[in-house]
Amino acid sequence: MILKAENISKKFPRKLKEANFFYAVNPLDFTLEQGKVTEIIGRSGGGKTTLLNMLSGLLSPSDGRVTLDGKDIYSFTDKELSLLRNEHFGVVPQGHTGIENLTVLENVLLPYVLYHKDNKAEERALELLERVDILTLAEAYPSELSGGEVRRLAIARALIMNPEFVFADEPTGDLDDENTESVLQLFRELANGGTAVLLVTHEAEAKKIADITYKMNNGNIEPVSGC
Amino acid sequence: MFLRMVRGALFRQKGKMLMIAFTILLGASLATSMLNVMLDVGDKVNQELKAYGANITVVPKENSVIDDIYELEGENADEIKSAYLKEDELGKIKTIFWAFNIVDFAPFIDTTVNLNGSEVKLVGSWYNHHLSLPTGEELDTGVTSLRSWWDITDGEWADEQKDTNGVMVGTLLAQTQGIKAGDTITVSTKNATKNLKVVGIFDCGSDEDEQLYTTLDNAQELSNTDGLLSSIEVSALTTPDNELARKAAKDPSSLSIADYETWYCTAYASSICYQIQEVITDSVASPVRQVAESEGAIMEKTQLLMILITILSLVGSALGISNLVTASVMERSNELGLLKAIGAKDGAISALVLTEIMITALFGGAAGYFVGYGFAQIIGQTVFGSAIDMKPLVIPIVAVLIVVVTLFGSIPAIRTLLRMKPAEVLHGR
Repeated sequence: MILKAENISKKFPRKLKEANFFYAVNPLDFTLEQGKVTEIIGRSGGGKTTLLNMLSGLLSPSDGRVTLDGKDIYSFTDKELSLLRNEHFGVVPQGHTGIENLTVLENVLLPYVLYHKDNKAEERALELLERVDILTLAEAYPSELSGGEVRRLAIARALIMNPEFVFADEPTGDLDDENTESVLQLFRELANGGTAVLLVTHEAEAKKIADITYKMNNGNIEPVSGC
Repeated sequence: MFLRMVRGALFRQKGKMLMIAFTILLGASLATSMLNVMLDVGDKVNQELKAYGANITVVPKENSVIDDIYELEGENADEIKSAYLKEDELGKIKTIFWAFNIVDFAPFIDTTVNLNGSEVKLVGSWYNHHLSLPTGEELDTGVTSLRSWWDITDGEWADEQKDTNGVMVGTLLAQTQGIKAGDTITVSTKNATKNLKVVGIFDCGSDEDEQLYTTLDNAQELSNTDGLLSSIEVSALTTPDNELARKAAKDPSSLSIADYETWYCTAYASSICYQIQEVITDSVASPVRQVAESEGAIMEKTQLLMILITILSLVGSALGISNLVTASVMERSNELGLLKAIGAKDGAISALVLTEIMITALFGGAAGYFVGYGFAQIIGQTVFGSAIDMKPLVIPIVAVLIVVVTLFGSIPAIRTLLRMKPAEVLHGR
């Protein structure tokens, strides 16, 4: 599977002297390759998260198109796009993203139970929780977790469906050094297994596992030389 | 897991959900009370209007035809009319399809008698006649209830259970003849002479003030019409006429089979008349238009008012629900956006929100039904002085109204949800 962004841009309304909008992402082309960890770094407000959201089917671009094997994903019906997000994309969003009245294990299983009635994924969910080191918290509720533990919950949830593409927005933001290294290692292993991983991060450590690094500034993207 | 998410949302937002339930409670209670009163008001108004007398008269067909052709009225008409109804068929009136809607009926026979040298009209009827019907029903019926507006100025109502020779005298006749309660008068015809005891003097403000009223047997003996009747008056609970009833009243045979069945199985005055004609030989039953139309007009206006109040209360509820559900969705945008991000379809998320609202509506609606039933009793006691019957039909109607109002009120929230972009809400925009 090949995920490509063709001349995509995103503008948001904002009162400026010269216009009533500003470009968060200027027109750009981008390809996410399977089996590789692609890292995007840059200052806050540079357009990294907006680009990740457009690539992961969460935010339609103002111009251009995002294609999966040549098909524009934003021309899909709600059902098709929902299935794509569920089966092929795994997203680790920023912030606190746990469903409060479900346990950690249920939160991780949530993408699976949306389309399945069996509990075949439970074993994998427990493996993932062990991998991100929160297995002992499986029956806890998100409100009982620290910020770092919720991040790890989100990572496990993003991987439960074995997606071909993983989009992680600051996945190590709240983690200590040890857990940061463990999570980054997990992403590396995923890429080695054929998954395309896109990391948006400030984490210098991420460079160690990235195959390609881009830098975004003021909505423009450029590869970082030497990587 | 779906149910746990629903339960979690309900408890986490219990303040808002209680407000939604309360809004639905208000709408449901008003709808319940208005519908219960509206469905029961027909019987109540009918009972009130029964105080104004019978609403159906039954006469021999032959006499009816003479009336129609010659438009006869008064004593001349009585002389020409020679056909009678049969007394032994009276009980059949309580065997028709709408038997339980027949609340009172009384037979009449009239004749002209000589009283102190004057020609006076004497009417024979039941006063408080006791009937044991084949259906097992017990009924006390007669002019005591059918002429309840009579003002007894001297003496009391005649009681045919105690004294079969009692007579009641119209106030004008009593004044002319100097008759008072307790007197004994002698009336005679070419067939018989009878001494009758004056039980009471009545004032009704019509021609009857110049007449004598005695028992049916006395009048039949004096007129030599044993077992015969000149008319029957029936007081029946009726449904206000509509276009179908008016069409049927002209000619029932002009109706289609479906319309005929609808009309026959509805308590229209014309339908009850038709059924009475079926059981009383050679008779014509016709509604007393003034009474029937008054019933219809009052009921239609009352019911229209109730419907308007119900609609307004439900619209108010829908607006309240709309604001509260939209606020709830906005408050949970992060959670709902996350569900979209992990692949939940718009339909599934909408179903989740609607399930929460419907469960809330179920509790609000159930509580509203009982509160509304209480309101209905207050209205019944205040306006009609009696309880309002619980109509089972109201339960499914209120349930459907609650579902419709809740769905209608949830439309803005669902639209907000469908427009929600997961990236924006997850990013806190």
